[in-house]
Amino acid sequence: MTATIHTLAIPSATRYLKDVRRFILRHARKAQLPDDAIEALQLAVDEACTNIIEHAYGGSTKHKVDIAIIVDPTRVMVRIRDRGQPFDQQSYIAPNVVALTRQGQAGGLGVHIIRKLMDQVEYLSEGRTNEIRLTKYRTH
Amino acid sequence: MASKIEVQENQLEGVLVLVPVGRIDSSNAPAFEKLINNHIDDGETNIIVDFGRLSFISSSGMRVLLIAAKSVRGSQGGKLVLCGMRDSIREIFSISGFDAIIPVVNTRADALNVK
Repeated sequence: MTATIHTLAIPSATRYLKDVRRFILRHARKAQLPDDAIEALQLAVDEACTNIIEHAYGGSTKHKVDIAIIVDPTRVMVRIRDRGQPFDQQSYIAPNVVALTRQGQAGGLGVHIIRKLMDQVEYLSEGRTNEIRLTKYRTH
Repeated sequence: MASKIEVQENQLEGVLVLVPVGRIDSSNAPAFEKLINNHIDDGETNIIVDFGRLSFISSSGMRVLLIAAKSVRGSQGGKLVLCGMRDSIREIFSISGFDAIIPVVNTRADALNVK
């Protein structure tokens, strides 16, 4: 079973998110993922990168975000690495949208959307490197 | 530096219709928020946001709409209604629970009829 991998590195600034979405679109199309799965993957990757830029790196644009899309016969996985503050998934609580409206904010919504859209979401940390893996399985 | 956003503006039977073009992500959501807030500050209490020319929106853009909806609702009889969404975007609003808070309808005509 062979897998192909394509990589992209961006500075930690939100103006590069459109390049990330274009990168995902190009390779997910080549992988013949259905259109709805491609759109889901683009949004999930955008949300994950936004969280890294705004939270892990605290809005500092001096860092780097490494993105890889890995395609094999059973799935398409996007691996995103950073060296910022790790995401504490233990303390993550799914947002109550009604309560958020009352408070006038919607923090935590990105993670909620990622989990709803992806078939599998994994968080890893090794040394100072954090990694999130977003997977869509192929359905035949 | 925040990115720009293109938003077309129309009036329909006295209601402001905003048509964002292209994408709303975390890079240009602040520009979108500023534009909507300016209208609300100018006294607009009924706003339709037509998604017909929008290909992508992330939670940053959804957050802007959520805050704007809350703001106009705080005004007397104000409302913010969304229309013209493609299926994939509508699904995101559904799984996020946003469509339970902000009315989402098919057309501008439907939006005018939302009480």
